[in-house]
Amino acid sequence: MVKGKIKLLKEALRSSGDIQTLDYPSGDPRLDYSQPRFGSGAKYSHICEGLRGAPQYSEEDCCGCAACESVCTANTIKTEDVNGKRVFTIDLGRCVFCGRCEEECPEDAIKLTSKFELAYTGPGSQNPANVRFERDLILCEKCGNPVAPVKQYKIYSEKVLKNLGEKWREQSREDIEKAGKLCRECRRRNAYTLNLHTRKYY
Amino acid sequence: MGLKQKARLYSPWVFHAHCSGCNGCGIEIAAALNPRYDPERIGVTLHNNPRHADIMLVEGIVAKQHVPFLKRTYEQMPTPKAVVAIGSCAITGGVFKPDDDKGPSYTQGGPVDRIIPVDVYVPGCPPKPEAIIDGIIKAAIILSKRD
Amino acid sequence: MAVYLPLWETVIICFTLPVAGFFLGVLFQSLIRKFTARFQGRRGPWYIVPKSLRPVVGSTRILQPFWDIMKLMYKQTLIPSTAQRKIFMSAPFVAAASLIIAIWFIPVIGVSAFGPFEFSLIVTLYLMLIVPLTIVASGAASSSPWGAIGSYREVILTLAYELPFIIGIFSTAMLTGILTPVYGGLPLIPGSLSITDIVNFQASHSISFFGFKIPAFFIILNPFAAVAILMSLIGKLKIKPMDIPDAEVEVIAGAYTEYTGKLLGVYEMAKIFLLFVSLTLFIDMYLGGALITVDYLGVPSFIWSGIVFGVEAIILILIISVVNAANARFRIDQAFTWYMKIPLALSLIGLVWPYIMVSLAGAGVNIGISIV
Repeated sequence: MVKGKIKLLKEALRSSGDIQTLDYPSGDPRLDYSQPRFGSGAKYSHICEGLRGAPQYSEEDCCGCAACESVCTANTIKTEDVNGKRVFTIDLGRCVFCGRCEEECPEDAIKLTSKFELAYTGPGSQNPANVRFERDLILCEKCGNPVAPVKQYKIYSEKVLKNLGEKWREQSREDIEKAGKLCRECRRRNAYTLNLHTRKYY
Repeated sequence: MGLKQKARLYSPWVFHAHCSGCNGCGIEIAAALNPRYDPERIGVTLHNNPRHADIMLVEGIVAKQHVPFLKRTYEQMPTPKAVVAIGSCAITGGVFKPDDDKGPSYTQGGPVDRIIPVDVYVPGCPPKPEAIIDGIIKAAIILSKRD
Repeated sequence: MAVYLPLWETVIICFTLPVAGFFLGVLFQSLIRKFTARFQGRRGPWYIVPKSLRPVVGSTRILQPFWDIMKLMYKQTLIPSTAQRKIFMSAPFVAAASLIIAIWFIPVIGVSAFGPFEFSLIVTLYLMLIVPLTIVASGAASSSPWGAIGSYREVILTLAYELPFIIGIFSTAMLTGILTPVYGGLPLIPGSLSITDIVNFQASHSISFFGFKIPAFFIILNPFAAVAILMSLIGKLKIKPMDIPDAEVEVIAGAYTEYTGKLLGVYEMAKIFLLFVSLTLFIDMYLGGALITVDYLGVPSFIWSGIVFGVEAIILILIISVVNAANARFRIDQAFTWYMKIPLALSLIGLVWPYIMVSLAGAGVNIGISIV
């Protein structure tokens, strides 16, 4: 028993010079991986490599395709089409910081930052967790249903036209202009009258 | 800042209420209170007695069977008091409440703020220990401004 | 005969000494927390808060226990409807008041209101014993099962540590009587039971220890009793291996479970007074009461006394903190058995040790120690 106590005392005296505590609330948040991260005298930054923190949304880059909504496992990102606008609501309270939205976004408009001090105080006050923004939609000329977001339509039509051969480009542009103003259902119904049936591009 | 506000800001004693969570947030709370992060530097100590505590840390979806106990525990705390909801389950129901249309899981008693007033929300699944300490400091600042 | 100070000085000391004792106790408690944290590899309460955090959490936490108490004083006080209201509410005040009175009887660096009273040691022991009694009463009165278990454990622990404590204290008090006429005197003359006399004896005598002249500290003359007393104080102060009555993870907070707000704050104050009283009593009994009567280097003697008191208190706190950090909690039966084995044996040896010393000296055997 005495031997064990002496060992414990030695351990206590040793660890008094071997402080394990990190200096979190005051520390330096800059990344520094060159220093040892454990043991005494650890230079520690509370932002580690690959930390998935709060998602950052760029409204400029977002094309409104809602791919992030379809992959969001926790229903953090929700979209709704109201009055010719696509409304995005992002509730950080549900987020599990999996990073799938970052992977899937075609325009790199969503990125997980290294910000982790996300505690917010009540829905009444200014709440950094809830983000809400809108994208304009193209509405169908005939029935008024939403077709696609304006920006997504523009970007993807340009991409399609760029990848097509020189021979069919003019023809396709005409088709896209005609069909782009109709919703899926109306396009199907009016395919014959507008001469939109399937062409062979070869 | 008066003596009252200072005293409340300087010694927030926390109480950990585990309300039918998966224990992920519980482990992170334990990690936040251990020597590695040592919140005793700013006066935070863990008291497993609601009667001594100022700040209650709630984690987990509150299952229906747990609702009366959470209410009772909250009422046992003397005023002024603050509640910190930790993790997405405590804030919104998380994965147990997939969609508003489909309704929550049949065991769920609702997010914490439907049962007791919540002051600080710490999102994350689970949140980092640093984020929990940040939430406790914010709750202490709220506490110091109470009457 | 007891020589008291003038009346107005006594009154001033009666008011200032408890206040000073409270703040010194707060400092001691804070140091215990800091040292314990250091031995556990933590930082403990920040004594100097980093600059970036100062607007948020303040600049220093040296007085952390004081802020805890102030916070409790500004909190709501809940009283269980099933509790025995009178006992429940009066117990913390009785504990704090008895310890404030105990401070009047204990000389701090030789300053004391009623220290010269002939039986001040016995009065102090009684007043210190009131604290566990109030804890037992409040735990039983709170009508909480945790309180009841806490009271039960408190009773057993008090019974265990009080026996070696009192035997050790009295065997030390006898030293003043036995060693004064040590050579050729009567060995069975009882000593003084006044703490001031004990302090003055240590200050006015010195011993030659194998030729070295050192102050006549009773820790050198009777080390067995000193160790036994220190072991008992660990139980009295609920330091780690002996914090059984209010073990957090076993019985929520023991007898304090149902206490909230101001009543808990008064109990925390009583704990701090108890820490101050215990350390001061130990210093008075065994470390010469930190009393220095010579003005060394032209500096007034009371400043030297204050420095010595601080150093001795910090050494004691260091010992207590090491014990606190390096030990796991005993079970109540283990604690009782341990107290009956080691501290009781040590205190009994301490009781016999002065007689052995005296009879050895009477028989002409040189044990290396002689009183000058």
